[in-house]
Formats: sequence, C-alpha cells, structure tokens
Amino acid sequence: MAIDALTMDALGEIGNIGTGNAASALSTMLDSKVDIGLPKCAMVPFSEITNGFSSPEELVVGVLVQLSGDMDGFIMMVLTVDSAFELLKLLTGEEAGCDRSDFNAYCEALRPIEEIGNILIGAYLSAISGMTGMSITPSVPALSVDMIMALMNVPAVVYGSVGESVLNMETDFHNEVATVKGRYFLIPTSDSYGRLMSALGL
Amino acid sequence: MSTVVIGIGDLNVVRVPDRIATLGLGSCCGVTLYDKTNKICGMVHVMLPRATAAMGENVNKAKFADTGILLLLDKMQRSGARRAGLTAKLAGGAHMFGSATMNNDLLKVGERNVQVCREMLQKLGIPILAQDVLGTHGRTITFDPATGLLHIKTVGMGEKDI
Repeated sequence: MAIDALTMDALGEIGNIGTGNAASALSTMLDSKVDIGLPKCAMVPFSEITNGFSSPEELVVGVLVQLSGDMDGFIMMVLTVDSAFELLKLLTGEEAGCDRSDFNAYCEALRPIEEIGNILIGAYLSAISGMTGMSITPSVPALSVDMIMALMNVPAVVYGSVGESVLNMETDFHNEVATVKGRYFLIPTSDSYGRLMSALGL
Repeated sequence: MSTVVIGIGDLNVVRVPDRIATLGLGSCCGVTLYDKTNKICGMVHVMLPRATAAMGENVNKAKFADTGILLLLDKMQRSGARRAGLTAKLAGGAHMFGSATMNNDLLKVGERNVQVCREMLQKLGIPILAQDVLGTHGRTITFDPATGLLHIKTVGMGEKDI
C-alpha cells in the first residue's frame, strides 16, 4: 500500500480535526486548556511501530473502539499510566487511592478511563464524519492496561495481510501543564482507506 | 553472552551462550524450536495464521504461522540443527481488549494463530513441550538454549519459566 504526499497531508488533516474536537471535549471536562501536537501520518514498518514510546514494553492504558458503517477499522486512544491516573484525579478531584503494586487493583481504579476514552473518541469520530460525510458507527469501548507492543498488535494485524507496514495516523494531546498526555491512532482497514479517500475527493 | 531480540513478523536463530527474545506479544504468537544436543534455538514472531496465494512471492513469510514455522525450520537446519531431535515451545496468542463485547475476527486472531502453530508443528512431527497461550494479556519471552527454558514476563501476571 503506497500513499503519496498529498494524500498523507489530507490524512494528517483528518487526524488533526478529529483530535481537535476530542481536545475540546476534554477541555470542557477538565475546564482547562488542552493542546494538540502536529499530526503524524506515515506508513511505518512493523519494526518501528512502537518507536514513539520509551520501549516496546512500556506500560500504557489503551481504549479501543471498533468502527463500522462507512469506515471499517479501529480507533485507539493511548495514555501513559501516570497520565491516566492524573486525568482521573483532575476529573474527580481526588487521588485514586489504590496500591500501585497490586495490578488488579489499579486496573480496577483505571476502569473509568474506558468511558472517558469512549466520549473523547466519539468527539474525534463526529468531527471526521462531519468533514467527510461518512457515517461511522463506533462499537462499545474496551480497555486494556498492558505493554504498548501488545496493544499495537491490533494495527499490525489490520495491515499485516496487505503489506509490511501500518498506516500510522497519530496525533497527541496534552493539558497545559503536560501532566496528561495521550495519543489517538486511527486505523482504517485498507478497503476503508480507499472510501475515505473518495469521500475527501482524492 | 548477548540476547538477540526479534521484532514483529521476524525470526532468527542463536546458539549457546546467546539467548533470543521478543517483546510484547499480544495476539501474535512466539514459536521456539530447540535442538538440545547442539544447543541451538530459533524463534519466530508470527502475526497472522496463514499466508494466502494472493500475497505473492515477495511477501515476508515469517509473519504467518504456516510459512513462518517452515522458514524457521529451514534456517535452523542451515545453522546446523538436527531435524530429528527438535522440540517446540509456544507463547502468545492473546485476545487483547478481550473483556469487550466486540466480536471481531481481527481481534480474535490470537486464537487462530495458536491453532495454526499447533497444526503445523504436529504436521512436522515436532513435539510441543510447553505452552503459555491465549488469555487477554501481553507477554515478553526469552529462550535460553543453555537450559532449554522459555522465560515469560507479563504485566501484572508475574513471570515464569516453561
């Protein structure tokens, strides 16, 4: 799957608009400013899919939503564990009082991130739907607290049967003091990618 | 002594005193083949169950369970391993985000990866001595040809040797 520079720019813009809308939603929730980074959009070889993280084994919190309708695929929000706890603290006004050495206890404490991710992902998708006129149906969200490489198996499997790289549409966001940092990965299947391009008139 | 780390859809072969590892297996499956006599070990990190004819010849065969295991076996033999005494160990094939009600074939690929790995090994007559597969969590695995043990590290589910 080869993608030219113009198309990459258009895809980057989609990520930008989606993340922008999700950032507004988060900003409203937190009642503070949320900034977004420059969108990254590239075909990334499998060997490099976790290069944006400190290691393939970095512990992260992921929320995954499956897409259907005019776009098949997935969208995944990834936060560091510290960011996830900070986000909960900002939203509830209190420290999640769980033992960080007890994995099950802190997975339970992180459980509300699933619904927060769902709301933010919803905002991301509604911006894309608005821009492209595509009707995209999200599934219920699912949460995983695990190594980033294990979570990145999802895009790898989506693109694995069509090539040796993944379409990486990634945008990051952070609050003003940068204590909450996260990223979105939009993962359209290779069939849907074509429909996305037609919807954009490319 | 060093540890050779293989990436996703990749394979390699080491001999004692080196070790071989792969990081963060999710739905992917790690298969190790071991020649105890010569202390040679190979590992492949497969992503998908089967190669399809439509993929053509230029594709990376290591990423599929069926072609990946054959490729690994070939590389083992070319590295001096004896076919007759080979044994296998398996890890991975999790259903990441598995607590969800999402019923998607792409997410359940781990189960099929494990199934095809088992079928291939059985067909080749290579016994599976141990396995740590399925579940909903990631695994980092390291094989030490000096001991023949496969070390499995997880987040929150502890570590073990199989």
